[in-house]
Amino acid sequence: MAPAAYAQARQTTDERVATSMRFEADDFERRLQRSRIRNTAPDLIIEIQRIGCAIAQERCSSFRFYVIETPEFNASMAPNGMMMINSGLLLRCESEAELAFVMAHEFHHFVDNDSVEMASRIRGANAGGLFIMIGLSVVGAGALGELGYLGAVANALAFSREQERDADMFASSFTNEHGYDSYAGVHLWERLRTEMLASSSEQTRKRFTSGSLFSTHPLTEERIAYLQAQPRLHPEGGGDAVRYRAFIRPHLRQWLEAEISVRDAGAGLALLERLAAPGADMGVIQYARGEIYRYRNNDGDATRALASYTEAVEHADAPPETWRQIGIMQHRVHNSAAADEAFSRYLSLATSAPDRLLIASMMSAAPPAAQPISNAAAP
Amino acid sequence: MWGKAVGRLRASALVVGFWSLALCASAQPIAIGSDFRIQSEHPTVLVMEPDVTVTFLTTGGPEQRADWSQQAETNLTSALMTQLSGVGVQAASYNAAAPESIDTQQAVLLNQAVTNALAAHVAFIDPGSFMGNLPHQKIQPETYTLAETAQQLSPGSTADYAMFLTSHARIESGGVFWTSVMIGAVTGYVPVSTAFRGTYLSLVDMHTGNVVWLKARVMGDPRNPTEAAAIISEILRGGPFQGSIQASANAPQNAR
Repeated sequence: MAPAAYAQARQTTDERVATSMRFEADDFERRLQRSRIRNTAPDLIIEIQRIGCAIAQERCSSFRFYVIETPEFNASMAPNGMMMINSGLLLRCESEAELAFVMAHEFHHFVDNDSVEMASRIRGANAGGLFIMIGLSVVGAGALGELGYLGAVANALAFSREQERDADMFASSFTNEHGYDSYAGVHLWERLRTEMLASSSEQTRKRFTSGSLFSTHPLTEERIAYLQAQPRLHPEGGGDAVRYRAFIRPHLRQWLEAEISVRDAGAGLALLERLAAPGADMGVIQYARGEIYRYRNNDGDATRALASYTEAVEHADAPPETWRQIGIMQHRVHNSAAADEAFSRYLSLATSAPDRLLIASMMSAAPPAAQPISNAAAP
Repeated sequence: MWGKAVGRLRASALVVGFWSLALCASAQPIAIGSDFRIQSEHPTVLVMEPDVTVTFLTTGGPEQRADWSQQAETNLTSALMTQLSGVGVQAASYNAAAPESIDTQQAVLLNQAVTNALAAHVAFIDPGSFMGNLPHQKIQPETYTLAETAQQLSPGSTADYAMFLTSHARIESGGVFWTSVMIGAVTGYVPVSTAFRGTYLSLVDMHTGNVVWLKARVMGDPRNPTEAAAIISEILRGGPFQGSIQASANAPQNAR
């Protein structure tokens, strides 16, 4: 339980709900601080804190910043000053300006007390909807009761979309005032749209193209349009993509592994195509591409996967597992010489891999003498 | 966004759900290992960080009340420590302010998972066997266990047992009650109340990791100190520490 004291007996309903939400957030944060889901790499946190403090300025000490290891594109701000940024969002940003835009957006949610206001609206919608249902039932129109309730909820969610729009506009102003490119949000949403429209999931594609009364955020198209209508004072500000890539590079492989686990081949390949554009990190990127082809397993994907792995190992940053995958694919087509060679490379690079004995058993020739298998059983 | 993150990550909701179902499914207290008795004279017990929530159910929706939750936790913890001491148990409170390692948190979560599995079994699989064994336990008893992970609950601790206090209450507002009455009057159907009050204690052997005892009680308002003491008293009655009381009265030489 959170350590802070909370007194709610004499509070108004809204104050009481706000206190309860902070209490839950404090409790959640305390658990989060001991969770494996956090990425605590100092290089990551220090940089995010630097950007966050530039946004919050004199209120910086009121905020805590956390990187959450999850592939979902998202960031959130709790009513107690806890900002969580998903690794899936960091992976999709291309510059400091884009990250600053998102953080400014979340900061505005906190300053405007949006989560508490939204909770209040939802509570009002729940209670109001209930009484509308009862009222309609009394006059014999009970069948319309559900509609009344849904109308109340839809009204509350329209408010949520308004909050998101306000937060976007604040982020646009903030970036202009602090030397960042205010179109950072536009670029981010455009890339996300491209990725989502390439999704293998029809539901995901629909979510990005058609809104509803129950959407919590404005449509991506709409966000792009109103952000493009804002002034753009520093087109080059904070847009150093090379520097940003260097910032996320130590985590790139781990985050791509998480993307692969989502099993959305269409979106994953679109993301990799974008990441590959600068021509850097090709070992990691081609390995991930090979993995996506491998699990998608459409006609011709085995060939594509092998080609991707083969290209990956031409780069120094290719994970050792790339050789294992080449070996397995060659093994399946009974190309023993090529499989043995690939497995040997894997065993010589992955000296403590837990699957060394298994891989050695797949070789037709003895594994490399320099790497005795008896030493390979170490976890 | 924030609400979505909380919803995804807060495992405690599952605990509430499981135990609500398990406890509501029974007309009698749930007890597992009800014949378990600690035979040492002064067993040492580490009381782990309690998991206590009091949720206020209003017509606007549920709200985890901060002040009520804290009051309930204080009342239950205080009653537990006092009553354990009264039966000769050397009880120490877990230091919640001290930094906790990720391994410890994982062990606590494992305990939640194991006790949830017990509740799920009782609620859904075999409601009639609260005091019996799971089917596989007829062959190999006492396999509700955290195994060696239990040692991570408090690395370096010399305690014999770890005790977990879990209490979840959902208290309806007057508005919810009268709304239900109105709905009943208009439609002839009164919505089922989701109000609930349940508390349980469980005991883990720190040497083996086995969950050796678990007992739950439905009802009682933990916000009230007197009722909280009664809840704890009811749960501990006839529990594992009867053996230590007996040992203390009879012979000092008994070893655990």
